[in-house]
Amino acid sequence: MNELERRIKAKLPGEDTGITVRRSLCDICAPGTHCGLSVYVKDGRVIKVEGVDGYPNNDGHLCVRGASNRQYLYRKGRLKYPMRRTGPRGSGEYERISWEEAYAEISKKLLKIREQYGASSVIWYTGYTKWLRPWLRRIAYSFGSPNYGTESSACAKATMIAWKDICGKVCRGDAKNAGVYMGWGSNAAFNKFTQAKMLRGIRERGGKIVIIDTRVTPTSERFADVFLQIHPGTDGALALCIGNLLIQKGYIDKDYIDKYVHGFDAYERLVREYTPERVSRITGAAPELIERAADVMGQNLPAISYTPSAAIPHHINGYNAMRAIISLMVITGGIDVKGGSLLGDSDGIVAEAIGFPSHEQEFCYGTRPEHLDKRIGEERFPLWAAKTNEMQAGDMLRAILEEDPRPYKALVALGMNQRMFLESDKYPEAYEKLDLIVATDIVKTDICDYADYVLPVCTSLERVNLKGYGNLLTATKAVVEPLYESVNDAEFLCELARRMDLDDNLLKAGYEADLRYFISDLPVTLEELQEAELPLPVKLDTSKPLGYYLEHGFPTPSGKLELYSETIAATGRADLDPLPSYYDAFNTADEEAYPLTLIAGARIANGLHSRMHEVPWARSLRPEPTVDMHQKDADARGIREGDTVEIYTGVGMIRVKAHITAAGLPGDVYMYHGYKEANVNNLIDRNHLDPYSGFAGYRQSRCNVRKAGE
Amino acid sequence: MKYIFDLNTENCVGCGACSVACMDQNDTDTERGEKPFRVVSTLEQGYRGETRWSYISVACMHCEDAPCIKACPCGCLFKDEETNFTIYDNTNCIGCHSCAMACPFGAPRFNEEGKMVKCDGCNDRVKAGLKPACVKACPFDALKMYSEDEYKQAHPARGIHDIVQQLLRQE
Amino acid sequence: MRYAIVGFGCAGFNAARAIRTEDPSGEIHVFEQTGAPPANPMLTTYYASEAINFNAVFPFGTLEEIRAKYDFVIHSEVKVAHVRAESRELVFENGSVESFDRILVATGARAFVPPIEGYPSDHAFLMRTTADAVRLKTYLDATPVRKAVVVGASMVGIKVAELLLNRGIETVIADFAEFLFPVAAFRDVAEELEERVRSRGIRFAWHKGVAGIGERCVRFSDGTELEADIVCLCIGTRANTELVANKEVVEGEGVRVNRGIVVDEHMRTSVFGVYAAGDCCEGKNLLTGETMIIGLWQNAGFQGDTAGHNMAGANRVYRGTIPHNITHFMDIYFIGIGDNRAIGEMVTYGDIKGPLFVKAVQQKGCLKCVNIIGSSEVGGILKSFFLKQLSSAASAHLPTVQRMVLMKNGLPADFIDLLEGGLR
Repeated sequence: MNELERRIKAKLPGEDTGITVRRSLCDICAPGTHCGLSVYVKDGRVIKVEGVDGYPNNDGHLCVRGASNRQYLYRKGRLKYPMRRTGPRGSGEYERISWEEAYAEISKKLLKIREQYGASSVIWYTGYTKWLRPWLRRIAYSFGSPNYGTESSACAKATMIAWKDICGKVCRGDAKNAGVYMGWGSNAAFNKFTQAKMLRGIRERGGKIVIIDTRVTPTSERFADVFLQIHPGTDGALALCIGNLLIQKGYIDKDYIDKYVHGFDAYERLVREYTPERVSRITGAAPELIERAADVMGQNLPAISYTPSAAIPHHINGYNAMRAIISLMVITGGIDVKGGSLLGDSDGIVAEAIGFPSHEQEFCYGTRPEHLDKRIGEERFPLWAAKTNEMQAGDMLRAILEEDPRPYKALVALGMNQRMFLESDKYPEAYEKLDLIVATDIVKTDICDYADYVLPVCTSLERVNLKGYGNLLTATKAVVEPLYESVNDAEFLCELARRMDLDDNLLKAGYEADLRYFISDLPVTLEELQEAELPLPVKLDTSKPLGYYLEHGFPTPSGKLELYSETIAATGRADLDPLPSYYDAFNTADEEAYPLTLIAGARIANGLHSRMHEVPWARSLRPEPTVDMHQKDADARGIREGDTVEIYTGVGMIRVKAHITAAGLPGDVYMYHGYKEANVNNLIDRNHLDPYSGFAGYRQSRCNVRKAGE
Repeated sequence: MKYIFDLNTENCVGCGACSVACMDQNDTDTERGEKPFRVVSTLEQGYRGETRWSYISVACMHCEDAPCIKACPCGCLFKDEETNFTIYDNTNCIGCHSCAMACPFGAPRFNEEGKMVKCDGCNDRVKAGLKPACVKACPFDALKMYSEDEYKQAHPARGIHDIVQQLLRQE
Repeated sequence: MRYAIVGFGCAGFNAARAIRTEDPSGEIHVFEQTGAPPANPMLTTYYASEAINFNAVFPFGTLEEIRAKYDFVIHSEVKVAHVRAESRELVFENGSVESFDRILVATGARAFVPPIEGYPSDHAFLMRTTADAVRLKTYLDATPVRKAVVVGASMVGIKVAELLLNRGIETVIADFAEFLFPVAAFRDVAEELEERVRSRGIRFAWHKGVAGIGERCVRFSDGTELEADIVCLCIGTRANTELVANKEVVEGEGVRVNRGIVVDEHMRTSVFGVYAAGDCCEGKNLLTGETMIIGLWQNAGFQGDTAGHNMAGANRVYRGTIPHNITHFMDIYFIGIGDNRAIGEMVTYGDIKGPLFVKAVQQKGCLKCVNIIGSSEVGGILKSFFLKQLSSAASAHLPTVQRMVLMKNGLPADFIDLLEGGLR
């Protein structure tokens, strides 16, 4: 090898090597992160990625998923060109068509369905990725349908609703000034490196850390001053007990409660029943440890809590558990104070948590008809309905099959993977009832075998991106041309709007024009954002000053922090409690036949739903679908490390490898989701849903495990 | 300038970012059975009734007096005089695996032709002023590369470099 | 300082390099009659089988390259007849004598051939030197050979058999021993390897001591014969110790020679200023605590390096090693570590016919012998652990990092616990 060949092999950027480094962002996980990518390109192909130094969140680093971006981009199974179904649904028989044909046929069919059955019969759904949501919401409204739905039906939305229910807005913890961090299911040291830094910061300045988790984790081992290991689904009981202890031990802020809190007396009566002894029996945590956690919290106020996007709401009592957790900050006077929980302002996706005015929200809601029909799940899940503007997609299967509240005729599905839903394998029954299914994705997923049209879209590396981080804003160019005939999802929707001639000039103007519209009031242009080396500060802070809501009232029905939810009371539903009461969250399966607790979706570092399972580098780190189970449960069943085992419930069975670990408690088995060959969500009944939020109870249902072939 | 790789075992969680970054840098084709030069592992051990977890990222340790260099019958392995990384030219490699037999860390790999390949510390990147791919990626500040002086100053606690030195002294 | 290095193989080269690091201005005289750069005897079969080209047999480069780097004088014009140890003088065949401050004897070893009727013969071959490899290759390239017998079921023997087989020659391996690799392999492992080799088309003849070489055959001491167009003798090696053998002086005053030249951990012989390294000497077998000929390339490198540094005034120690070997033939990797005759508790992992098999014998929880079929990574770590156990007074845990790599390479935790001597 000569010098130049060596430099090329080492992928060194330079004129001689022909390698350039271009900036993009990683869109594999949620928009709350979207780390900066330095993409090494040679001859129009990506040859390597790494983190951008000085970038918000990742500052030069990448997680295991982000580091896989090159293979994610060039993975096998990328959809290459538009296809039209030729065989029966499920046959996978398709023919290649042109985009021209696709647009013409799809727009014609959609208009015809609208004419015959009404706009509400068309469902506009998106799974991953999330950045395209403003365009999908907009087209659903311009088209006239209320049935805009997203993967947030199982993600952070329930957590956000709980915050809104109590405080009127979503809060984030002021970690820089907090005295104690209460991490409920927080394993930041393992899967959220941006937050691991924060934990180190808290510890270094003498703050305390309490970790509540069902498993021993690097976070509990390395960061916890107190670690409470509990059974799945018992967080609510624990939070009520801590509330009880905080009151008894005098750690609460009576003045604050008198002035700003609604429903304290009723709350106090509720929590009184949750003694450490009783809650120890429910949770499995020792009474002394629970007392210690209450003391550490009470003596180090203000407290902030962290709950991962959905770990708590993935139980059918999860909504109340979230409220019980938030209540602890309320009674200790920790909302809208320095070092406490600060009310935020934005639902923005493209410009997540943006601290400056953009037209994104106007874009999202600008064409929303004044009158809309009922959304899917609206009646069944009144809290969801009251606090969100989208359908509860967890109810989609039932709604289509039962035609409740109406018949559905078409599904436009962007990045939809039915494996995220309970009883995924029942979806084809629902597909049979639809006249038109349009599926777009980067790669083929299960729905692609049933869709009438399958359309290829591209990754963040192949498109222009606009993205906000706090008060920083950036835009990127495509670092390579879109592969094959793929287009970006938003551009697809804009073209569809043109073809249907919707009354929507912004949508018809196209993707980049829309981005320019978002930032039209800001003193920067898309080009300036793209040319800058790093995201640029935009100094137009509109967030409210600290204590604003204490002074002016909280945006809740009572104007106060609601331990007693007037929103829930207003639903008039007898099965919903305005107080954050605790109830058992198991399904009704027979405990003797199914003595183990299945926790579906417990995270692994190299997976993100189904997105990384077919990316060889990421997959190589845990090559086979594997259940984590305790030695005791394994011994009782004659199971050894690496054995093939079957996890079964009354609903289904999957075959996976066994990994034996003492991380969880005996009786609990942990299985990651999204595997085609071992889809754990097929084991859980479709009605195992939280009655408040409609969230699926992924993390707690009864199951059993046996050695395969026995 | 001589460099030292170190892993702070207090910070490593075995997430695998370093391993994937390594595969990206070195075009490792796992589907054809190639193994990454850097691997991560989580080890759970019972000890007097308690369970202990260890997390490690392992690749070539670039040993000071690297046993693989002496073991290679073909002279394929040598030190880079500038960086002190253990690098190689596998043109004459006969695939005998003597280097692997000499290595206390299982670092050498063998490509489809049977020739040895391994972590070269991203030698050319480092010489060009860049970080090794794994160090650059490590999101938990566990994997680091130090110059000799920096290493002396930093005295990284619970580093793997010390363990390695101790192991090599036994040989 | 004036240094003499007699013999320029792996040990000689490493010594020259080490001297030059310690002593930038010293005079280094290398005496090597072949005039060739240091060659690796292990590469001869690879050259003869055309796996590598001729230049690759010389792993450290050409003489010019080496000389330019380490600045020494090479003498191929004279032949050293004797090393006068006490006076640190070299006596040459032409009668001249030269004295030095330090002398390294690095004369290597040669192929051993017992008295055999009909040897030497134009169709009998050895496999030790570059010249041997060239001779066999040239012969095979020019002469049609149908049948061959390889005498010696050794690591070299199997490589020679492999290259003959690859040329389409019907090959039989004959040995006086009862099984393959008799000094490294457990019997069941040897039988499995034999089975694998046999399935590729090589035959074996055991209990056969070679007695004579005929026109088209090999005769054995039991009176039997095998047809053979060529015979390759891969019986073993003998250390080249003759230059220091003190024929003229009284016993006890010369360099101490056993089967090889005896050296200490500093590579010093029994005579001040005279060092020895490589295949001509005996190093310490850490398993037994006694000195023995080790005959490994890496060992020669360490010994040469240690000798060189110490000759130039440093204080380096090479403790020695344990017998270990990795043999690579027909896509099989066999690893033997320690003493295969050791008796003790036996632990095994894997199916002997599978891709990874490990068998170990332990005494009081300490490893005495390990055989591995399959993974060199496992071999490297177990060798390291073997050494660790030997250097620790009490039985030792496997360091976490090594345990993890073993698990990554397929060994289960409970088997590793057993290798640790059931400490957990």
